Amino acid sequence: MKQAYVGVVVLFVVGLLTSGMFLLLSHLASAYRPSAVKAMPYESGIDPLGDTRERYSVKFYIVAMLFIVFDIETIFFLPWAVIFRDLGLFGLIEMFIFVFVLAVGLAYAWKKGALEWD
Amino acid sequence: MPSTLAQQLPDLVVGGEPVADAEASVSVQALRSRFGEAVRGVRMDPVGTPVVTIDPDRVHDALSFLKTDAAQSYDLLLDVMGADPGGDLVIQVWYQLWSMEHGRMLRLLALLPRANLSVQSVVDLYPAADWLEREVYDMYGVRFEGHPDLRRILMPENYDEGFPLRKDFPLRGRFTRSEQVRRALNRSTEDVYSREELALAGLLEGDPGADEGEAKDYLAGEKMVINMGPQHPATHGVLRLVLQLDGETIIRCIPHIGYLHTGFEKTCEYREWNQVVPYTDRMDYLAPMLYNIGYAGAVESLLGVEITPRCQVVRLIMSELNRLLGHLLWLGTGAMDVGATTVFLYTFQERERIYNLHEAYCGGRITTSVTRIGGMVADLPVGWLDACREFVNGLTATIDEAERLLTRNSIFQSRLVDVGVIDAEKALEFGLTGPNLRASGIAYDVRKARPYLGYEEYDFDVPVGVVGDAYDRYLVRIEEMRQSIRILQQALGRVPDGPINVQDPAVILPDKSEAMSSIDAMISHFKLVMEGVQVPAGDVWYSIEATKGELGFGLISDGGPKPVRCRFRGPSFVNLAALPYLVEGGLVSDVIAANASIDIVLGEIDR
Amino acid sequence: MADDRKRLPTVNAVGGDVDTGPPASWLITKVDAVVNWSRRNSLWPMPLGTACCAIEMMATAGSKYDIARFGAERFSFSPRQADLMIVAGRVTYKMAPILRRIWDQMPQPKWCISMGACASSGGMFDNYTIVQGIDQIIPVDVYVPGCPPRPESLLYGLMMIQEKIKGESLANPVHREESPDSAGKPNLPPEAIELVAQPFGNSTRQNRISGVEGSSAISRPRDRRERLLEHQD
Repeated sequence: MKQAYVGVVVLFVVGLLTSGMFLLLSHLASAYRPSAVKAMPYESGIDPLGDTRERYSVKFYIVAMLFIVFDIETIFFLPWAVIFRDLGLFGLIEMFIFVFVLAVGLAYAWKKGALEWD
Repeated sequence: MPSTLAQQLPDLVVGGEPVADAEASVSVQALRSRFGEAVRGVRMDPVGTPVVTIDPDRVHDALSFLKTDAAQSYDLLLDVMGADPGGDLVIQVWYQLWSMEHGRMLRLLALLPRANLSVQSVVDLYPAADWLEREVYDMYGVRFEGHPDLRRILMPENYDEGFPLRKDFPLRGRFTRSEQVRRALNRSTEDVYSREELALAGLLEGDPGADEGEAKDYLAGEKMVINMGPQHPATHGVLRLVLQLDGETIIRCIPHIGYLHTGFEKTCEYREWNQVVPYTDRMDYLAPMLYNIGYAGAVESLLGVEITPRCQVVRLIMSELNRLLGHLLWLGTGAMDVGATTVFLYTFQERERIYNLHEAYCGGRITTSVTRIGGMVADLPVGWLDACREFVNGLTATIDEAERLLTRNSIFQSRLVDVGVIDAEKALEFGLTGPNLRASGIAYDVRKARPYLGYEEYDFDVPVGVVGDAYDRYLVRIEEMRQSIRILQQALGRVPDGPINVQDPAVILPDKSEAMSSIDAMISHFKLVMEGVQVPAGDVWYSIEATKGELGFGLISDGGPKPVRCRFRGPSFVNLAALPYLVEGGLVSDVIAANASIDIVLGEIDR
Repeated sequence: MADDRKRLPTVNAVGGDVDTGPPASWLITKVDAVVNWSRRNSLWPMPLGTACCAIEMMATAGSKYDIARFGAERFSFSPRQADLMIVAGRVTYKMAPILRRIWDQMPQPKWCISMGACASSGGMFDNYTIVQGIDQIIPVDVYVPGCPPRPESLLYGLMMIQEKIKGESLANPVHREESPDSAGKPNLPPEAIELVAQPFGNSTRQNRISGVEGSSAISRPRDRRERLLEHQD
C-alpha cells in the first residue's frame, strides 16, 4: 500500500520545488519598479470610472454554481474510471444511479431557465 | 424555394435624368416657388448637382420640405461640411442630399456671417447629422441650435486652442509644442468623460440619479461603466467605446473618436493639388488606391479634363483590386474577432499577393499614391496584367475556402445572425452607405447609380441583404468580392492602348525625354513644378463607391495651386454613428461582432 | 570568428575602444547570457497600432513574414503581459496620455519600438494634432523609419532590440531605471521638445494664411480672390 503512495509524494514534492524554483528565479532576475500608476486597474489606457467593488449581476453566480456542481460530478468519475474493472456490474449500476440523480438536477435547472442568459 | 427568397428584390437605385441647367431642376423650381426670396442663388456643380444657396434661418425648413415632399424625397443626407474661404468672407455650410426614389443629388448652401455663426440643427430630420454637425462645430465653431449634444468630436473635449479648420488658425496650432505636450498629458478624469458618462456612473454632484439615501434594489446588480478602447484588439483601430453594462447586457454605448485625428483636411490646404495625393493614401490605408482615384476624379471634374480611355480602365482595375484588398482585410479581421483565426492567415496571404501587384506598379505596398491629376504615376509595367489575371483567377478558391469555413458554421452563425440588426428605413436615417445599407435591403451602389470610370459598360450585380443583421453584411461583402472578381475578369481583357496620361501640358508633366530636348516641354515642366496645377475657381462634391460606403470629396478652389477646402467624407464616419443603435440591448460579445460587421477604418473616421 | 557572424553590424560612434567598466565575473556573465537569451527570444509585443503601420505590423504577423520565428507571435494587448511596445502609427495629442499610461502600466523589463516616420518624428504631419515623435512622451529604444516600413524593416528593428537585450546585465540595471514620479510626465524636458519639434523642410512653406493668398510668386493673389468671389453667389 505504502509503496504506491511514494510516487504521489515524490510528484507533489517535485511539483512544489519546480514552481518554487520558477518563482525564485523570476524574482531574482526581475526589475521590480512599482508605482501607483502601474498598480492602477488597466482600462485601455483611460482612467477607470467607478469602483471595482461594484456588485456583479447575479447571473454570473448562477453560471458559476452550476459549473461547480457539474465539475465535481466529473471529478467523481475519474476514480471510477481507474477501478472500473474491479467494481464490475455493481459499480456500473451505482454510478448510473449517481448520474441519474444529477441528471434530474440538470433537467430541473434547464426547465427553470437557469441555462438561459437573459 | 425558401420563403425569404420569394419576396421581391428591391429596385436598383439609378440616377435620374441629368438636367442641363440648374433652373430646370425639379427641386430648384420647388424651392424657388416655396421659399422665394430666401433662395439667394442657384448654380450648377461640375458634376451636375444643382447648388442652392439659401438663407441660414430657412435651412431647417428647406430640408424638412426636401425630405418629406413626395416629389423631392431626399432621404439620404450624405454630408454636412463647413468651409472657410478666409479673410472676412462668410463661412459656408454645405448640405449634400440624395434622393433614392428619384435618383437626384442636391446641395444646399448656407452662408453664415462671422458675427453670427449659428444655424438650426437638422438632427431631428436626419440623425446622420448628429456627428456631422458636431464635426463642423469642432472645426469651425458653428453653433447648431437644437443639437442634443453639441460638443467636440475630433479634438479633445477641453481643447481650447481654437477651431482648427478656420483660416486664421495656424497649421501648427496656437501653443508651443512643449505646451501642447504638457496639456495633453495633464488631462484629468473629468476631461476624458462627457457629462452624460459621468452622470451614468453617478459621479456628477447634485445629480438626482446619484444614489444618496435612495433605497437600492439589492437584487439587481450595479450598472458598470467601462471603457472599451482606445487600445483594444477588437475595435479595429483607436476607437473608444464607453459602455454602461448590466451584467453582460449593454444599456448605453457612447463612441469617442478623434484619437487618430491627423488634421488631413487642414494640412491639405497647405499642399498643392498633386501633393495631396500621398495624404489620401493614409486615410483609408486598407484600400488606398480608391482614395487616390476618387480624389483625382474630383479634381479632374473641377479642372474639366477627361482622362484617357486607357487611364479609365487602369483606374477601374485598381479600384476593384483595392475593393478586394479592403474586403479581404474585413473578412480576415472580422472572422478573427469572432474566433476564426485561420481565415485571417488565408486572407492576409491573398493580400500579400495584391501587395506584390501594388509594389510592381508603383513601388509601395500600402501607401501607393498612384494617381496624378490627369493620369497616373506611370504606365503599367510589362507583364503586370498577366500577373493580375493570375491572381484574380486564384482568388476564387480562397474565397470558397473561407466560405466553407464560415458560412454554414454554427458558431459563426450564432455569433452573427440577428446581431446588430438595422432595417432599411433606420439605415437611411443614419446615413449608412455601402454594404451596410445594401445589407438592409436598399440596392444603392454609386457604381450603378452615378457610373464613373466606365462602370456602366461592365456586367456586375449588386448584392442586397434582407434582414440587415451582421450575417447579411457578411454575405453581401462576400458576394461583392465575387462581383469584383467578375468585373476584373472583364476589365483585364479590355485595356486599350494609348497614352495613360492626358496630353495637356498644363496638367501633366511631359515625358522626361521631351522635357530635356524641347523648349516648350521644358517650360511646361518648369511651370508645373514651380506653380503646380492651377485648378479654376469653383467647387465640387464628388463621390465614388469605396469599400466602406460612399466616399465623398468636397473641394473648393480659388484658381490657384492649392485647395481652399479639401473635405474628405469618409463613409466610416457616418457608419460608426449607427453603432450605439446596433448594440444597445445586446451583449458585450455582440459589440465585437457588430463593430466588425460595419467595417470601419479609423483613418477615414478621424482624418 | 563564429561568434562575430551572428552579430549585426554596428556603428561604433565613439570611434575607438569603449570603456565598458570593470570585467564582470564568469558567473554573472553566464547568468546574464541565459536571462538575456530567454528574454530576447520570447519578446511578447504589445502592438499600439493606430494607423497604416499597424497594417504592416499585422502583415509581419502573417504567414509570409512571420514574426513567430522570433518568438514574438503572442501579441499581448494587455500591457501587463507584454515586454515590447510597438507604437505603429501616428499618435495624436488626444492619444498621448493613453500612450503614456499604457507605457507606465507595463512592468519591467520593457522596450519600445517606434515604428514608422509618424511615431518617430511626426512624419508628414507637422500640424496642430500630431505628436512630433513619441520620444517626447515615452523612452524609445529603436526607431524604425519608413512610411510605412516594410515588414522586413520591422523585423530588423526587432532584431536590433534583441541585440540591445544581449548587451544588458542584471548587475547593472541602468536600462531598468524607472522612477514612480516619472509616471504621466513627458519623457523630454520642454526645451528639448521645442528643439526636436522645430519645423524643417516643407513645413517652412506654411504660407497659406488666408484662403486667397497663394504660395506662388507667379500667379497674382488679387486675381484669385476676385475669381473666388465671383464664383460664389
